Amino acid sequence: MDLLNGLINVFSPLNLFYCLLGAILGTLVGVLPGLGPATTMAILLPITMHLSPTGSIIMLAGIYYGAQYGGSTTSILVNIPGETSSVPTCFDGYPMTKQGRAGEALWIAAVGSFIAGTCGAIGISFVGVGIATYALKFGPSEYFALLFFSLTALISVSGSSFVKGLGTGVTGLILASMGTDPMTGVGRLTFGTIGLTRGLEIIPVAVGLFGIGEILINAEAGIAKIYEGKLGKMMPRGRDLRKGLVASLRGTILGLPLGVIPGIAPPVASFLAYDLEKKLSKYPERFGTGVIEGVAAPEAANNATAQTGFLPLMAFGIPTSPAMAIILTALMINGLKPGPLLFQEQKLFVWTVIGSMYVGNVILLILNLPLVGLWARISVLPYKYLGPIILGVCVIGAYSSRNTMFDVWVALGAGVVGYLMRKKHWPLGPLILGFVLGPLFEEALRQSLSIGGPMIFLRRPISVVLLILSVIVILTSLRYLKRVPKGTLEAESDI
Amino acid sequence: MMNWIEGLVLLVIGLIGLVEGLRLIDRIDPDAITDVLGPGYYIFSLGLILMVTGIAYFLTSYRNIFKLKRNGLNREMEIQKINKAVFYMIGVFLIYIILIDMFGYLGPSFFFFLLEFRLAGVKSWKRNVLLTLIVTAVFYFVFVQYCRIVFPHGVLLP
Repeated sequence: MDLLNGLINVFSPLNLFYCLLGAILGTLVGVLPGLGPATTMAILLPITMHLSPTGSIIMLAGIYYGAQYGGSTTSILVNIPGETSSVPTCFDGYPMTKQGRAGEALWIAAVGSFIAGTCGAIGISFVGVGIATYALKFGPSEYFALLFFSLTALISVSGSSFVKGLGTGVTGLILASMGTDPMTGVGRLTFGTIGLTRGLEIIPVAVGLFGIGEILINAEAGIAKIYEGKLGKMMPRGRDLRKGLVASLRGTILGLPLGVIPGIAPPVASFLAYDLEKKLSKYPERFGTGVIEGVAAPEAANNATAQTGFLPLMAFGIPTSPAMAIILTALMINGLKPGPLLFQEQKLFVWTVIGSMYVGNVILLILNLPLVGLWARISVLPYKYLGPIILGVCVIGAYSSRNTMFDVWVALGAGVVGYLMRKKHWPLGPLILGFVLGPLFEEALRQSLSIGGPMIFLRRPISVVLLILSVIVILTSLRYLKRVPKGTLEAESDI
Repeated sequence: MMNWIEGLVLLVIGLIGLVEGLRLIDRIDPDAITDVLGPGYYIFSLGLILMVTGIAYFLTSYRNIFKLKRNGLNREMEIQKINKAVFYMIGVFLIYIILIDMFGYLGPSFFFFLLEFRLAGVKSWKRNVLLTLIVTAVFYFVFVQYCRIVFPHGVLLP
């Protein structure tokens, strides 16, 4: 019944418009190499302050999972992944194009993404409420343990160096503590300046790190080549169709649970799905030469992971990736506190957002099949026109959050830091996550210690389990991620 | 060399956190606050963790270099040069922020876009000026007039 109300609300003209806008922007972002969903969402974050909470979250969510659809287009057509999660799609997608089967590759990528996205939305619909109800049992110690697990998991899988991830994560926590301490009112790391007394605002930091930093790094990039060939027939037939659909289902099943684990962003899931598909195949040596399963599985996995990533965000307020951290910020800006109470107090909002995922996936399927030629042309829009315009938007965005030029300076500083971090392959995810979660992390820690001292974490079963899981994640994550090429991990950590 | 600088940055940030934490621990009367940790111990701990991380980074960097040399891979590390255009873009951005405070939004935005388009690769000045005029006008009317974002009026102009 709640889902039905949500779906009805999605079909209101304004919400439908935001759903469509998010899908279009997401596909565009996915198609344009160098512009990631986190970057776009950070740039558009200030604009969401002027929209309704429902509309802004629908739009941002559409951008996030829409980018997973769009990233496959240039991977398949010109061997340039639009998103890091589409890197495995290049391995077999581009060879299929060279064989004149580009249409089939694009078809299975879009349909596989649709299957996975819809399954993800169904998963959230049925599991989300249960998880949110369970989350009501969480006290400060459980929240601290969950936040600790989230940060640890993201640090462990970000980039190829645990030390780098830890360094940036802890730096994010320190930056979050700048300003006035909420419990005692004393200034911390203010250095006597008025600007820092209010602390660092998330919008200028996000806009700088992701927006300005991305533009600076892409100022060094070249222009993609234009695809001028024919697409061939769209829908695969017979055995190819069956193999493609089965691989999509396998990718979906793999990607769905991975999405709820902090740190397992779509790029990691897509690589694991490709690896799994190759291992299960009777003819693994054919992978890389243009097998349809090599396109279907990673595309389905990345969409499934993108969709279920909303579960921990909505139920616990825990973002599983930098893009989710931006959505969390948008929720907080709109006065919505994600967590179990959100499902109870803001039912219509939650179910409208979930309903928009069903509608959004249908819109994306329609956008990505008939209009694929248009997206391929747009993908070669020169950065020399786009870059300065995005920089101008970043200035507006950074300034408009508090109407102070201090925030624009912060954005520029964050932009330079973001640029240098990308150059030296230092992961951005732990930094932004540490910054966003820092206040919650500190509050939960201080409340827990005030209630029961350090032993409270060992007396509460949920926190014990989460802390043990954190240790397991640290010890084992890098072992499994050795299957994912180092370059991909580093590229994924840049978004 | 670059690894030195990266590790040093971690150490410096950690040290700042450490010093600030000690200052707050010293300053706050523990009997005057209800929470056990207070504002000082938290940031002190983070600073300490970061300093340890910095030291670990130095050690792992030198271990990797030692491994490469031991395996006979005595190649030099690739030094990633920073493109000059990026330096200039940052410089133009910096000047733009200062000029907004002095002259308001419109004029500095024109020069900002003009220079940034040029640095981004728009070589033809005619195209550049036309593009700049259009983009500046669109930004002004959309964000300043329609969205009513109030930028500084400038101290040097009435």
